[in-house]
Amino acid sequence: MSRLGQKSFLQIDEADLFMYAEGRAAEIDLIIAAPFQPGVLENLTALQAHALRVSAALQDLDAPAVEARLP
Amino acid sequence: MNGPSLHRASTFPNAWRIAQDVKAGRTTARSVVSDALQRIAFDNPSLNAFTAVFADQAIADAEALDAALAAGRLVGPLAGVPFAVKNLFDVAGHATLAGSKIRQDAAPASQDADLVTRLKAAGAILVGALNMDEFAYGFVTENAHYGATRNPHDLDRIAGGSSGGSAAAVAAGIVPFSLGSDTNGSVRVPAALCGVYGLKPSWGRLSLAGVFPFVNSLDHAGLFARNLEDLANVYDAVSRESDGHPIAGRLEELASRKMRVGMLKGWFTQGAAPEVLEALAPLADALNADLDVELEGAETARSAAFCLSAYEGARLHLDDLRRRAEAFDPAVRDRLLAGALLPDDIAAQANAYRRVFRIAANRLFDRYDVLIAPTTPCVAPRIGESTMVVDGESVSVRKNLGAYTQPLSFIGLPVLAAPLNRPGRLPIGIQIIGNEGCENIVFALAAKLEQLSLVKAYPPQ
Repeated sequence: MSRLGQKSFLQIDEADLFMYAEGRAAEIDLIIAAPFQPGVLENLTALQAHALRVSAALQDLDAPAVEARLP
Repeated sequence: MNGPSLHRASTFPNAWRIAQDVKAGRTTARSVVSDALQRIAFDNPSLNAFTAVFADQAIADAEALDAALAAGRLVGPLAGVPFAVKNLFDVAGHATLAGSKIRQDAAPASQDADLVTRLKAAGAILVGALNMDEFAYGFVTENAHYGATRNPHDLDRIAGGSSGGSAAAVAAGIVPFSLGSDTNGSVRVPAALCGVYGLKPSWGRLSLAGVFPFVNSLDHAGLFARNLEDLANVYDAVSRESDGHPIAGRLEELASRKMRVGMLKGWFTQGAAPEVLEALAPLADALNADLDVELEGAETARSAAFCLSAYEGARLHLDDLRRRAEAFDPAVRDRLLAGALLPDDIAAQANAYRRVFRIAANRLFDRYDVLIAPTTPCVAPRIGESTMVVDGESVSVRKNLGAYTQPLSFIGLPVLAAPLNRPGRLPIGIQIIGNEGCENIVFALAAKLEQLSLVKAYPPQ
């Protein structure tokens, strides 16, 4: 985990995503068996891309303007 | 294809007509239910839509209804109409599989799901439970444990998912209506690919009591039928609405309303096969729809729904993922394991975006009463086809058939999926989208399109 430091999930490079997955799995007491790892990594990569899109959209917003429009 | 074939019918029996005939003594519930059980016996080996058939109970229920009629007692509006449910609805005395092997050993449900109870109270007769993607996580119903459900219009093709059995059973004419669920498009996608009507009402409008969950904040119960009148009658029978304004008797009046219609472009046409766009064009003309309508943020909303589904779905199954991951359908397992690794702030930002996207939708509904969009980017893919081409890029079928449906369920809008009138060709569906709580409007536009013969379900050729 050292190379990951304090990086958030969204800041982790694709090359380091497996290292993140191993560390995170240990944190939540989950074992990802070797045969499942390629599929999990593929899905985690896709989820990171989706999460990045959402994060970018939220950052682009003018938050006070959004709040003002809420009912 | 050679080999499997289906019982062919030139017309579909109408649920409402069946109930009228049963109530008038022109037929009996027992006879109607026996016919449905025969069709299951004949067609299901080809379709693989049913995972359980409750023959003895169905016959007993039908005989009880006939006896009640003979005794002059009042029966409900769906008297004697056979129906079936996606196997994530509780049925008393049976384990609720939710498409999984893991739940084969679950304790039998102690009571029926709320919607099943309501339908039985309306006189409908439950005949079976239907195949689905494991834990409702997919758009294909190619289930590793229970096999693929085949599309009645082409047995080499998928029925769509995750409520694939529910759509196929209705499309094949086995039952006039069925229940399904829709978290990201799981009613609308199979309805479109199988050429039947599907309704996903507003979030919270139909009870989920006794329905195995997937993503609590996105789950909706839904309905399938072969015509709008049946869809409306079943909706009236199960809806929580207590405003005293059932929809079924008002379809003609609703269809005459003037409606401002917008056809969604941008994300909702991106990657669509030319055949899909061509099929939609006559609708825009007939409805005088505004074609320059964009629902801002739809792609991001879909991404947020993707993250939330993986995150919440994984947490629901975390114990089983820890103890027996190998017992999951591999395609579902890998997605859930990845979802389990997501940190909590990913779900928080997805939920934050929901509020933003809701505002964008509200802005559109200031200008339009109803919106329309394709349901899927393409016709039903072939069974076993894992990828499809969207915008020149090869993408996963399992994850992308719901590209146009996910943004809409993300904010809980009511959507009626209707089959375009194209006899003899593979079905293509449209989504008719209303503002929250405006089920009457989506029925109104569907009724108008049905009057114009632009939407219609056909028996498989």
